[in-house]
Amino acid sequence: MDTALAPRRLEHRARVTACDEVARRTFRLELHCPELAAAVRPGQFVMIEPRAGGDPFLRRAFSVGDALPGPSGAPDRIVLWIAVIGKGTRALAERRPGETASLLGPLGRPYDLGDPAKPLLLVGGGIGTAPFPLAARARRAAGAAGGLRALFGFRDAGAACVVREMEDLGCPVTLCTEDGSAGAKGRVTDHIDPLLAPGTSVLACGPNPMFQALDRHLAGRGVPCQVSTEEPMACGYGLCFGCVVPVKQGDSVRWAKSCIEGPTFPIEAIAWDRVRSIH
Amino acid sequence: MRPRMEVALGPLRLRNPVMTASGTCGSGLELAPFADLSRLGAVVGKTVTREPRIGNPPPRTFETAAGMLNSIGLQNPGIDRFLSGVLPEVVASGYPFVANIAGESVEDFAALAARFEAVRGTLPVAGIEANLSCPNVAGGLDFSVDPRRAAEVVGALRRATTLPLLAKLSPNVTDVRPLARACEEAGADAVTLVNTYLGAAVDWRRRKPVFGRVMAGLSGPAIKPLALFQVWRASSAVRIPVVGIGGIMDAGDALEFLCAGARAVQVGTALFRTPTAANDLLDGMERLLEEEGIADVNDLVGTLRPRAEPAP
Ligand SMILES: Cc1cc2nc3c(=O)[nH]c(=O)nc-3n(C[C@H](O)[C@H](O)[C@H](O)COP(=O)(O)OP(=O)(O)OC[C@H]3O[C@@H](n4cnc5c(N)ncnc54)[C@H](O)[C@@H]3O)c2cc1C
Ligand SMILES: Cc1cc2nc3c(=O)[nH]c(=O)nc-3n(C[C@H](O)[C@H](O)[C@H](O)COP(=O)(O)O)c2cc1C
Repeated sequence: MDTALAPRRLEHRARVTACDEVARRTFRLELHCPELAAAVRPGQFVMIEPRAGGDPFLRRAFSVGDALPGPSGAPDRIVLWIAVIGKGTRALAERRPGETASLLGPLGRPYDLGDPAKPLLLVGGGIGTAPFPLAARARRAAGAAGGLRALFGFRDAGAACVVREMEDLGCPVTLCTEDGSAGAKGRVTDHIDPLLAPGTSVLACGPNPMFQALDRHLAGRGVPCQVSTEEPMACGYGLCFGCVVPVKQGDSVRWAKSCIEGPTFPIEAIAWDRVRSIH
Repeated sequence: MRPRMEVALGPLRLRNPVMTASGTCGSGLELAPFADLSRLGAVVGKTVTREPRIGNPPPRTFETAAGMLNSIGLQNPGIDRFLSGVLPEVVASGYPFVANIAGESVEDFAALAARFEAVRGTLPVAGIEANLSCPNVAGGLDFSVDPRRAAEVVGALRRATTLPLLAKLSPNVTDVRPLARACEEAGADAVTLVNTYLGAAVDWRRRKPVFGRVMAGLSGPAIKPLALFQVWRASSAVRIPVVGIGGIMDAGDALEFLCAGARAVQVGTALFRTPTAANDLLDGMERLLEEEGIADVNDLVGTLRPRAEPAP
């Protein structure tokens, strides 16, 4: 077989290097996997086996939150931020350092970080803040002369995560919570306007209702915004046709596989009135 | 010594008995970047229909104990765009490809087969698998429960093409044998079974079904014992080869199906967990056969009981 066409290995064995509760029902899982850490781009995700042995049966999708440099300076670990929802995420929260885990990745279309000379705003809702340290790192590597900020919204102070990591990477975070227990009171759409300096692009990740609110809020204002959708996936790499999202096509929609056409999409590409709320 | 792995499904000669199952790796182009499909017996494409189908709104999949439910709704670009936009790339990629088709009428099936027959000179497929059993579209089921209707479809396909013809059957029947026999008599070269088992999932707090159509198709290891039984039963009723599917995850599973009467197997849901599942399974089969001193994979087929013994 022509080596140029040799299949790319998607499955990787990683070693758990840390697993800690960092916010209420939210874990930071760090995995040693140099190949993945070197290849992954902001907005991409992995499909991880919650535990060995096929129970739960399917893998689970997680944004790669960060890629950490090893002793040589090259990235050798990835970080996932995991909100505990059901049995898969519960099993992941119980992973211990030294264990191995099987992952597929890197998967999906990364965010387009755009022109580093222009301002970029990272908008995260809840566990949707997860992908942004990697974005901040990549932006910094590109020489982010245009400025980088984050706007993170959480239900309350106990749910806040990923804030310190962003600040450590030199990205100031505007924090808001629905109950006002940390940062400003309200939701991200209540606080976004002062952060939209002329020429700003937005990268957003969070629950579907947040995207719907953002879509209404930004409509017609000429602010480029990419979102990362969160539709349940069986395979994560284009086989099953399960994780579809409604992409506008004229007056109707087509169901696009979010695992390979996405998970990142321009916000205006999605027919938000046809999107359901996952939780 | 490496075992001989070639098998024949009537006129369809396969390098080995391992295929991918319809609807679980698109046209194969989706999986080709991650697994060497040219090593497999064949890739069976996702069902193609005459008209494009946008498919069902999500949710489309739901995890279950040892498997999953799906209700994709036969999303596909339709035969015109399949032939112009997909098949040329598939043929150029060089892996053996079996086209899977479904229709809402006998005429639909025949017209689809005629299209593959017509492009045979330039875009040859290795065979056609008629999906007589998709549970996720209205009207799709009667071909799978009524032997007379199944025979009409297979007969019409047989007249429309001389390509190798596989009839894919549903397990959602009391007895699959009359259906398998009807397909054999109408000219099928092989029968494939099983398609997914009908199932449902319920969100009791909202008093709502998870799937818009309530029913969905169950696949994965959860159905393996059920599928194994259907394959054994069907293979006792027909002389044409049987292709076994249902929850095959590893080489041992595949060899069980061969032993129960399957001449070849298809791997479906396993691919969702492991991109190289079919390739790994093939390697494993060769190793296990060699360990057992079985020189030819065909020697295992139907060894569960004498193949010639008529069904009761
Ligand atoms: C591209 C992508 C990136 C994601 N990134 C993150 C992340 O960085 N951090 C994080 O905590 N979560 C993330 N999620 C959501 C995460 O995959 C689900 O929360 C998780 O699969 C739930 O599994 P469970 O077994 O605990 O829940 P259960 O409800 O028991 O899961 C049952 C099934 O539904 C699926 N499922 C349930 N909820 C979701 C959901 N919200 N999204 C997708 N699938 C779901 C599961 O994968 C599983 O197949 C991401 C999802 C996608 C699609
Ligand atoms: C997501 C999904 C989509 C499927 N789509 C089709 C299809 O389009 N046509 C078809 O004949 N079978 C389809 N099937 C059925 C499979 O080909 C196979 O018969 C079934 O899944 C059992 O095998 P498995 O347990 O190995 O998956 C589909 C199965 C799944 C899981």
